[in-house]
Amino acid sequence: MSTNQSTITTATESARNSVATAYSKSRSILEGERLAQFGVIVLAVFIFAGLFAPFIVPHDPGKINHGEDGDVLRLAEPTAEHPFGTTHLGRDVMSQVMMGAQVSLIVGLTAAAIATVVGTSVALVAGYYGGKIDNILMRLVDIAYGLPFLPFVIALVFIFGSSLYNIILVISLLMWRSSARVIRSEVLTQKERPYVQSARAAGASDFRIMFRHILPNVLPLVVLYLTFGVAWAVIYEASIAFLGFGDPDMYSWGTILYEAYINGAIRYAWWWVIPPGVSIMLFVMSVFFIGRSLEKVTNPDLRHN
Amino acid sequence: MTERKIQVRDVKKHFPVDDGALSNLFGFGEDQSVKAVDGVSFDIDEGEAFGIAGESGCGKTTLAETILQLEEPTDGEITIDGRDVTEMDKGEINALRSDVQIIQQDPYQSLNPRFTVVQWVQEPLDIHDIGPKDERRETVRETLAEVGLRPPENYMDEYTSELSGGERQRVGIARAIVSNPSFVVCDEPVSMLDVSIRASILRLLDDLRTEKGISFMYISHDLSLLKHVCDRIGIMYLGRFVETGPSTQVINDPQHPYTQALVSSTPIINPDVERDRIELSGEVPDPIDLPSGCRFAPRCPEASEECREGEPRMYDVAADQRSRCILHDDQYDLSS
Amino acid sequence: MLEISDLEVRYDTEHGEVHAVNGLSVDLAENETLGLVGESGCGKTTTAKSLIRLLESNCTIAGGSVELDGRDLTDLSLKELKREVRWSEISMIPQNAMNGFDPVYTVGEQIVEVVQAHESDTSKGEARERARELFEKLGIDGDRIDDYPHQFSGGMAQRAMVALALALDPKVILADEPTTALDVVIQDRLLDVIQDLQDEMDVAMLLITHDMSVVSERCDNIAVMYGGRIVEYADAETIIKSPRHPYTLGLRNSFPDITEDSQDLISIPGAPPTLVDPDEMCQFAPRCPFAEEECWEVAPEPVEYGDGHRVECHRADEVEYLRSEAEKHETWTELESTETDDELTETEVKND
Repeated sequence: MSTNQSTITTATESARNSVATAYSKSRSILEGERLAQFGVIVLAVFIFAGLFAPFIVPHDPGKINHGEDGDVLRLAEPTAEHPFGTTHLGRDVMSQVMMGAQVSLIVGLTAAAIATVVGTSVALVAGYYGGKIDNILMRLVDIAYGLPFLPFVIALVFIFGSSLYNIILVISLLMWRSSARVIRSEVLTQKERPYVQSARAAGASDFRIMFRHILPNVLPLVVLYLTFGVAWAVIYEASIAFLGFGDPDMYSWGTILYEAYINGAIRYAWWWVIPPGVSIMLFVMSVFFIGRSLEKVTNPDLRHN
Repeated sequence: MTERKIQVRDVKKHFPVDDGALSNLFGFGEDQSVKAVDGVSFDIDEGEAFGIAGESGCGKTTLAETILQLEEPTDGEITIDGRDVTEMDKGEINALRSDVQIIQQDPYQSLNPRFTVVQWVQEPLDIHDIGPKDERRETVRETLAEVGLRPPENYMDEYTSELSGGERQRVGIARAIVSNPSFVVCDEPVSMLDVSIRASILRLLDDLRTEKGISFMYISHDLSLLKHVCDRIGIMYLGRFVETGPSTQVINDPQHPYTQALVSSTPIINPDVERDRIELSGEVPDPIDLPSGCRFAPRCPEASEECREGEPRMYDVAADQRSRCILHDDQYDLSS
Repeated sequence: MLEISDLEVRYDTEHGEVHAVNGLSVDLAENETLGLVGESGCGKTTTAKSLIRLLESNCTIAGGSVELDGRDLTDLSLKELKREVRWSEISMIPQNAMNGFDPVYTVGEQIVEVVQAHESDTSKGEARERARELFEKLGIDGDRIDDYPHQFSGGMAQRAMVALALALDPKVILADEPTTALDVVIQDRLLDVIQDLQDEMDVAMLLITHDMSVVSERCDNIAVMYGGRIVEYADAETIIKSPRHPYTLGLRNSFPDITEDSQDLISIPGAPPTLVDPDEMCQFAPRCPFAEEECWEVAPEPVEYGDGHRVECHRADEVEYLRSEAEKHETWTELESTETDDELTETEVKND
């Protein structure tokens, strides 16, 4: 028991170390990388908005705003009071978009985290043990690859209801497959390294070899998949919401677009469509820019170009 | 009779050949196997250094892995301190691992790059729960000083990737001896290092042997190195020993034609010594299709019809020196 | 025939400028075999690669000349050098032949390609015939020119590489650890065939290796390289039997001799210099048990000791003393302990 515990503490320790080295490495690589710096700044703005949205939104995003004449402010063009205008029900678009950053962050981070943790664990077990276990797990990955996005989402949301948690779950179910496959191949090469034999010769348990020895060596790749996972999760969430399967109680960028679309406003109320659309684009783009730079940490070949 | 430290009796390790999905599916092909180790026996005494020499593919590394129980032997007996390792269950084998250690060939690949020196050296202590936790760091410090990494404080919290090849190999040695093993296997311990620093690593290993009474098994293709560090030596060819004996004697006066060829192919630094050249034809055959009879016969300059009929036994050729060649048989008429 | 003088090759790295080859001069006569020995990182491979400019992008020839039959190769543009020198005049056998061949073409196709690239009037058939002849001379079945590299064993692939290196009848072959990856039996036979062909085709060879016994047996002359310079140069017998430079003495001490029954092997303490912006001094001084004040301040000039024996050492005159001291184990180990003491006092001083 105690050995297991120490394995875990040392594992976190080494994970921390490798994150620290990866961090310092990535910081030095980010220097001189304009796009990545841009990405970091944009992402910081979104994170700020996401964290503090409920406190800093200019209006309650669900409130129906009235004009000076007392009428509901339907589809008002941008003004100083409502910088992104209002919806057909007189709701403030800017406040909705800011709340949407929160949803994107939650969905992006949690779904990517779940998918990467599941994918990495599957990869470690499959790659390390090989043989039948590997075969079974990799066939599962193949099945996951066979899942068609739309029917799968529609079916699951229909069965379980379209809450935020179900959406996260559905996205995770779609995303673990890619990290599982790629990280497994990296585990396969790491497994053949002499240091693994050294660990076996020292009497290390399989668990210890997988998590204490191999995991820190594939961690840069894991971090990379985590990053790209965030971007993909946000795209998936926006697509699901735009199709009308989003959580009706939350404002996400996809939901905002969906409402604009079903109300026919997408053709003329540009202030209702462009802010959420550009937000999705900027968010995803900034994550990809950062990811590209991180990729150079894991793949030194890219560094020279 | 004194108790032998390690007794290896007729150990075999065969790997099944995977001849592709198609033939697996249709059941083509016979059940073939690579006979990497095919009946090897030897003993190592306490504090003795035993060397295994041979060309790449002769099975010497597989033999080491089998003795270390990193590979399960197909057949045979491996006794360490009077206990048969092949009969042990997983737990017992794992407990044994603190007593039997390995020093690997490549100091650049064999240390986990994500570990600091202290983490790496301390790991065997953590795994086997040796000594109180708060004293382990101190044990590591002492061991590092012992292997010549002085002052140890300068090394302990470095990542292994920041060290030179010689330093890394010393870290590898520290990890191997930190749990006080009584038997250490060295797989080409210096072949990746610069010549100028090899001697100090070999001296360190030899000091450990004499001071701590650790038994060593060296694996190398380099005969001059084995002659220098080993008491006895076994020459391996296609999974079997062809000659065993005291290292100086075997190399100065080889009896088996293969040993003679190996020794005669080793370049000599001393320009005054002319070597007798024995040319071997062909290359080491595939260990799947072993030649019938003597395994060395197809390449042997002295092979005759008899050699292809049956595999020769080991003959006593001198004090403690044995050779697997029909030429040593009194029944065999040399003139024919 | 090949005259290298004051060659300087530098790598531009993030830590500074690495003077990998730092004023190297050596000659190679026709049909001569010159052994270049030294530790990893001493600049042996860089020297060879710089002759035919197989250098990495951050690496430049910063000075000196390489004259082949009176023509300075450093003056040629890379394009000219590729067309007129590489392979046709100077060819190279790399350490690992498997990396030298392209896996998707047969070995024969690759030899034909190299031949035709340099000799436009040679037909494909003639080039194939030449490859086949070379194969047979090297002891490989001529029909195997149609095999792919992966179908060869390590020793055979290395022979095929030799065939490629000799296909254009060059004047010089650069052999960079050509046998290090091979077993002794195969190594020995390969060196035999190379030597036979070398005599037959009248080719000079620069044999780069760390193996003192190989150079002792195979080379006419030996150049011992340390810190980007040739610290000692002489005929093979002199280098092995009566060296003068402390580094050569140290190398001799550390190399096992299979004919010896009880040999006291001694390592050289310390590690080779990084050569990042090196100071003006003897580069071996930090590891040398005989270093004096002068060695730390002035780089030694080469001194001749008759018959082409060149040594770069301030104390090479005291050869009897150096040799008798170098044989002793304490000479080299004492240095190790005093060195660490020095470091300690230095850090203590810094702390104050």
